Amino acid sequence: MDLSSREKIKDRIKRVIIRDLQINLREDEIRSMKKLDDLFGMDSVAIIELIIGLEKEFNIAIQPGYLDYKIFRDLDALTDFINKLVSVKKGSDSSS
Amino acid sequence: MIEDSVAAVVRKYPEHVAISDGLKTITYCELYSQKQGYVQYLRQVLHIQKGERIALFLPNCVEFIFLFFAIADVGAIAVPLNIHLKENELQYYIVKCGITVVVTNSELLTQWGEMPSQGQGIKFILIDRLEIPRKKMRDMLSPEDDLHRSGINSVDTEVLYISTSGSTGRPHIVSRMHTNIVSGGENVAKALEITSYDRFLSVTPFFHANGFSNCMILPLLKGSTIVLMKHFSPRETLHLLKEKDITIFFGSPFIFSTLTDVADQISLPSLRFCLSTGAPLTEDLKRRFFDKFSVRLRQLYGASETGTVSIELQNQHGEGSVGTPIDNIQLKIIDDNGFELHPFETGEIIVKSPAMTKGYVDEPDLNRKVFHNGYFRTGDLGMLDDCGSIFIVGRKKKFINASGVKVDPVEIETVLLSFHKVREAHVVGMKNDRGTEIIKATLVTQQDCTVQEIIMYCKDKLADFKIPRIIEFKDSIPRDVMGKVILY
Repeated sequence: MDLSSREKIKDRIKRVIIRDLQINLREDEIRSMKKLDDLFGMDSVAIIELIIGLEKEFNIAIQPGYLDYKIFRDLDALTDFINKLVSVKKGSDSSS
Repeated sequence: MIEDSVAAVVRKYPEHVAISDGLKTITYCELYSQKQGYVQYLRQVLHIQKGERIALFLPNCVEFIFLFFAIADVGAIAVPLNIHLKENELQYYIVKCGITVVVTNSELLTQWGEMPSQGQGIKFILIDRLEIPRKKMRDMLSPEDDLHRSGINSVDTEVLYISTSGSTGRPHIVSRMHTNIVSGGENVAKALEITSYDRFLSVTPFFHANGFSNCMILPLLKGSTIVLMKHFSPRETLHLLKEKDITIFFGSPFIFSTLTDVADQISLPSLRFCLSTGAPLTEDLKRRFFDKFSVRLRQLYGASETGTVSIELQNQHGEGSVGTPIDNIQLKIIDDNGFELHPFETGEIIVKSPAMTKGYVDEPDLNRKVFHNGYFRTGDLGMLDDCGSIFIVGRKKKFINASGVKVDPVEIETVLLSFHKVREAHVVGMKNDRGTEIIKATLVTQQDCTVQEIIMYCKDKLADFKIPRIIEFKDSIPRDVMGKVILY
């Protein structure tokens, strides 16, 4: 995996968290956090808000069948998950 | 009483689908048979007695439904609990309600790491590890046998304890009797003209008063079909609304707002009623929802204490109205001295209903304060227009609508103040555009403290939806001479 693009995706995820979940933390404060649970109470409503924010930010659709709520509590796992969806989308866009 | 209503529906629609959860479909006859298996288990294995309290610490699932009706059948009391509660919060309900059995599942238990203490004679039952003798029960008991055996319950037998936001830092427990549950369901069924042809998409958790009454009891009283969702997911909801030809859908402003956000313009021709409750519905969301789905979004107004009070059934209610009271509901607007007000005058809404609780559990002082001459003082401020439409303008009681659950800010402040670094705490709700609120805590600390420390401390003591998303540190919290926080 391209490390720089992975880091860029992670940064965009952090921005979505701050913007769409309306928490008062700076990106650098989130940087050290691996577990999103440590930032606030990651309840089911927060997860839905995060999913909608990520879908808009990355222009992807997160299908219900792919939802593993544990992913949304771990920043690294979430980054890998989004990275995979973005790659699949790029592949299908370029082939069509 | 409830068992008689269920038996009547089973006799009328034995082969009709009662529940579909994506994996299996259950007919009314099977529902009855499964319920009988649980009745046998409660009686013969757990030795449950009349009046015993059994916690249902479960997500929306078929077992929740079987168990509730079995609990009702044996004359016990079901206590549905929010599945996001932490162990200490669960402990509060165990003591407050006098719970002797907690029914949960392995998945929920893993969030605590280990089985909670089974001291004080509390039994924890894992529903996914139970083997209920279903076929055997079906062979042993026919519906007619069961009908002859019923009679343990009268109309005023308590059957449900449901939690509601408190005003003293802890939730109150609302007691509902058999008659409350049945008449509440019948009232709404009449208003919405529910029939056995209706198909409900039930996503609102059954541990909410609205989810319990309108998404579980209401369809089963009329022989309708429940399409069950364990968790809310906007795309899955849209898929089911269309594919399963859903006719009735209860949700919250948050649910309808997210559906509107993620959906393309789609047609939902089967949907007869889309009803929002739990928080005020904005006219903007109503318009956006209609533009996307061509279905009118309607407001339902009610309370855990009263059941459903009003539904915006007509199109000509004024903007912002929550409709007119449904049948058998008496509603008045009163001033601070208890005198009834005229149309367009604002005062407190008081309600009398056959679905209404007889009171909070073990709260005699509070009961004297909020129940008068058969009316419940809702704490909502509102007015009527000259057509009898109700308009809510505010609340007397302060709470935060967090993730669709009404939370007392005092409960959160109490936890924050118990942290040794916190000297003062003030918690408020900040409105977001989805119709719910974000919890904001302003803190004065005794020593250096980080947001993460606060979050980690709260995580042990509060359900996730009660943990503040915004935490601010200040040198002081401005207060007036009476010590009341000056809003800023």
